[in-house]
Amino acid sequence: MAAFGSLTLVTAFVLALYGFIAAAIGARKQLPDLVRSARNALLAMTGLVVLASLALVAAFLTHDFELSYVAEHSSRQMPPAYVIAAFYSGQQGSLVYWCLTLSIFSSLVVLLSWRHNRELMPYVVGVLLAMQSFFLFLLAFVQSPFITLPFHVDDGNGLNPVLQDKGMLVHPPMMLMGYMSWSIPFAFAIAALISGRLDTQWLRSVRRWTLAAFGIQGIGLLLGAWWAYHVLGWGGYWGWDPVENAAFMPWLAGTAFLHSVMVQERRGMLKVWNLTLIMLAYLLAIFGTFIVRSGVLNSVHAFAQSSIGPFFFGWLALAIGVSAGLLVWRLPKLRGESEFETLASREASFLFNNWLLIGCIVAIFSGTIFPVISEALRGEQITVGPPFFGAVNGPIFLALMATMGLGPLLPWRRASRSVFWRNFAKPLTAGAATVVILVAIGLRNPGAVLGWAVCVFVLATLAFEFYRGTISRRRVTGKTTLGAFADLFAHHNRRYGGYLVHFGLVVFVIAVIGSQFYQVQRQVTLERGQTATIGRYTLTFDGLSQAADAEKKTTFATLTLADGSAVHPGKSVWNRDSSNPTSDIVIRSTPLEDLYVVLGDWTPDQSAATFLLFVNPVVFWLWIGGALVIAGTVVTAWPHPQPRRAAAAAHPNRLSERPAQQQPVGAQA
Amino acid sequence: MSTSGSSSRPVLSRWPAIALASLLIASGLVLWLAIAAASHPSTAYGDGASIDDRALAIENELQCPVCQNVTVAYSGSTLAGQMREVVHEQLAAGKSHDQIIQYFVDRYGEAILTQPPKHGLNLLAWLLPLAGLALGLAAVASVLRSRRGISESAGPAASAEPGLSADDERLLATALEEIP
Repeated sequence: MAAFGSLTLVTAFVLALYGFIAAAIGARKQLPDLVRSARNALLAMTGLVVLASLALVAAFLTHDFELSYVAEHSSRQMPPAYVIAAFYSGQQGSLVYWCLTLSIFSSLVVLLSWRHNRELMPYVVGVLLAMQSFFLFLLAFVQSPFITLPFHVDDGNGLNPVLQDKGMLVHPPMMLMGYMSWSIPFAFAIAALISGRLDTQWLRSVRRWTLAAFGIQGIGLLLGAWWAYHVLGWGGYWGWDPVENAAFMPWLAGTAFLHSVMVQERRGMLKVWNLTLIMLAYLLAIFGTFIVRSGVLNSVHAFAQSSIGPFFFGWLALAIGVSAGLLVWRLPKLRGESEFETLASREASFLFNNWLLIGCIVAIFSGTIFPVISEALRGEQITVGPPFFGAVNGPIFLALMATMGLGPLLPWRRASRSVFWRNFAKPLTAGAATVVILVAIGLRNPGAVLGWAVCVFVLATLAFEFYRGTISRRRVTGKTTLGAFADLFAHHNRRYGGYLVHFGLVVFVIAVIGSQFYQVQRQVTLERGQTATIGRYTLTFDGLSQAADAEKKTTFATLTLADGSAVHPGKSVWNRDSSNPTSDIVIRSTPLEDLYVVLGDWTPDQSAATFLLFVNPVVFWLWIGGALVIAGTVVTAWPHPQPRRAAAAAHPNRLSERPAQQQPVGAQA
Repeated sequence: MSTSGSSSRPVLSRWPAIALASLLIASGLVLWLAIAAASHPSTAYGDGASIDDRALAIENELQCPVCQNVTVAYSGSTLAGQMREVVHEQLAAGKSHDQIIQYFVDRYGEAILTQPPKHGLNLLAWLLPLAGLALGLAAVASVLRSRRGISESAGPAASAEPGLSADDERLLATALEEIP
């Protein structure tokens, strides 16, 4: 298995390198045969990477402890699902996984977009294969997962206990795929710059791939939040951990691109800026991977540390150099076709959106690397924790939300006074009314009151847009209100899918505000029979019990609630690593609030125990909002029915249907 | 505003922009202050709070020295457990919140704090995001100004629909708005 796996990886590397060179020469000298050969090399390489991945999974499933990677990351007692997940739990395996997803995405690009972007594709293939060569080089010669142990072992080490959770099956694959998927838009951007084909055609191809990256990384981030909330036991879902930040930043850059790209499509402006954003997203993704792998920063993800940090750093430097060089070289070709006219226009609101998103990235980036700066400058590491990021980003997020309400209702080019008031009078009233109502029911925290008011303002603008769209659609098609509403998603999926993303984000932010400002937490030490109160819950401690299996010993506490039901938070000590116990948290979730119970320490005679208790308001809606964002992303990325347009073009006299047929380039995430 | 002259356009178009900008800036400032105030620990726990709750507030401000990005309050490590005991003992002995925090800073350095104290080099951490935002705003403003300067100096010929009167443009804008 070891020899087979190594051979596959080396062959894949040779193919990728050959394909890269063939694509480069073929594109330069206009040799279609060579380009086709590069394309075939890419597809063949994909096959080989799939084979190598299957070989590694097979090694795990057959407990082939001859392989040091398998012995390090799995053991015989582990449930089969985690044995498969151990595939991507370590350094080498996650690189294989990255390579696997990049190969598959590259093949999809080649198979789906070959016809639409004939001039661009040789370069795209070249860039993608250059990336593959880098990763396959690391896998084949620096960090092979197929290294064998020089001695025999009966059983492996097993997986890090913290990772043995359902979250492990979904979060890392999504996150890694999310990081990887920024490679595709980046490849298109580099290809467009080298080939000089900088019209908006390439943007149309790249938009859907960027949406894919946005969606996949979004799912990865959400799953990470969900996993943290259910496993780590600090009552929260987001800790501004360096690795979380690193994953968040490319997503923010991609979000900025998805907005500003509309300005280029509609008005031919911001060409340099859009290219910069795509490159920034990719560079931040590589930076994120570097952060996870290098161990330069303290993180809850520190189990992934290794020695290939310098390689990633070199790759990052190369990517920055190439990107910047190409941009400067092509600057004369990137002049805008029209100008900004006023601040009160759709395009200016996108500019604000970009400013805020980039501001967010700057704030998160500087906070994340500040401990390193501090250590370099005065030799003392300091910690930049959640309160810092909350204080700095809170206002930016609020302004972003406000822009989200304003932007979609501002017309392109310029808004007249009457249009401005017609669109915003009611939403602004709704926002102001929210302030009055929240203060009247006794809420005093200005951050929460203002935040929720802005959320209501955005909801009102969205409701206004859906109302107007439905009415207009009903008039044109003569359908029922419900039919017309559904039509909006079917026929203007780009615009209304985007609104669905916005709606999901508002729900998400409402939940974030509620849980950040109104979380209640208590630490209580209870003797058996004693009762603690938190919020509207009372919990009585009834004692401890033990359970054990092959891998761990778990202590459970029994707490009885006022309604007679019982909860059993626990703590597990693992045979493999007894100094780092894991928590079995209990979460009682309702739409209004979550009761969150963590078992802390207990006295040796088991007569008393310490508990961390939380009441987290409206966290339930965080997951609903997140799911809506993903759903909206799928809607907005859904291929638009093309034949319809052709039909409209064939009957130019059907003018009455023209407005409805026109594909609006509306606001979307 | 009887002609398409660009000289009258900014008067018409600038005021919602100013409204928008001041709304953004004002709301930003208010929230900034609000969060700064709300995140101060002393407001969260009054004198009436139990020792357990006051201990939690302290433990939340201390980073577990042997863990990765976990506060002392939630860490399962042995050292964090001992630190929690120290916090409880010192509270029972009548020490104040700030005294106990200082006790740990003296032993472990400022890295033990979950957020950088606002003095010395650490101020840089707080200023960098602000500087980034200011720089970005300046960039946006310069883009908008230079672009507008060009279109104004070039006159009506540079506009996309030359010869449209202001009334026509308003009609057009209204009509475009109706399209879903």
